[in-house]
Amino acid sequence: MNAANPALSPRVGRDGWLPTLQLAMQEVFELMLACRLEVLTEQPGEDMLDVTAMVGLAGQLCGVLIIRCKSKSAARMASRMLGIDADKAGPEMWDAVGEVANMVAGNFKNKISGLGDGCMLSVPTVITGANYNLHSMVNAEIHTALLSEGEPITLSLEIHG
Amino acid sequence: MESRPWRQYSRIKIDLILCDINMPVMDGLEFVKQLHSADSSKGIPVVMITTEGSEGHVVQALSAGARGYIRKPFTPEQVKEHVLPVLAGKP
Repeated sequence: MNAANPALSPRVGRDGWLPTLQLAMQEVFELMLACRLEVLTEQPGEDMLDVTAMVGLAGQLCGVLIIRCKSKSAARMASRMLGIDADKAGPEMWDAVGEVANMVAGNFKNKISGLGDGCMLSVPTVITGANYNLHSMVNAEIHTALLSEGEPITLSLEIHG
Repeated sequence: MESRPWRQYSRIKIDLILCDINMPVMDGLEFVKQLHSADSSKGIPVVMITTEGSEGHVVQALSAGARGYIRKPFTPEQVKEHVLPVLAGKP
């Protein structure tokens, strides 16, 4: 699960990072939330995705990993992670999505040769509300969407350097 | 924030602390060092449970005084494998 693939080194190139990112997210959901994710072939509209979790990466890879989902999905994550009623999840849903983002970022970087030691993660930041614009110095972006219990979750890796 | 929040639990017997590395205010490695620098809490075992999965991080954590290291994401079996020996008092 955590074995780094030398062929996916940042020095070799970023081919193969998309499926690795998707796998990192699927493993986190299966192991920590007992929930299977399907990769979506079409990108969902993002106007209803009102919870955003971001984890910064610094070192050999600089960037931000971003997860966006509906409050409903965030509440389900909190329910599965903490054993609470999804309908009663309040601030716990923000913690849960932030923790998921942290685990996806960590699982991803541990799969890329050289990033395990060479890249640090920030603590997560969570934004609530869908009506905002995010501006950052992006050199490249890997973006995907997955389906969890019928609801879309988007996953982006914005690469700054 | 109280710099040593575990002091408020000094009257409770703590068998084990599961602790992340990436945390606000104080990271997990510093937490373990400070916890074990106090006479009242130096015997409390800590198992790190973190996304930082490299060998370098494991060495850092164990050097800081952690008794075990669990990489996230993890299975319940992995938690048992690392936690049960510590609870049983095995080195």
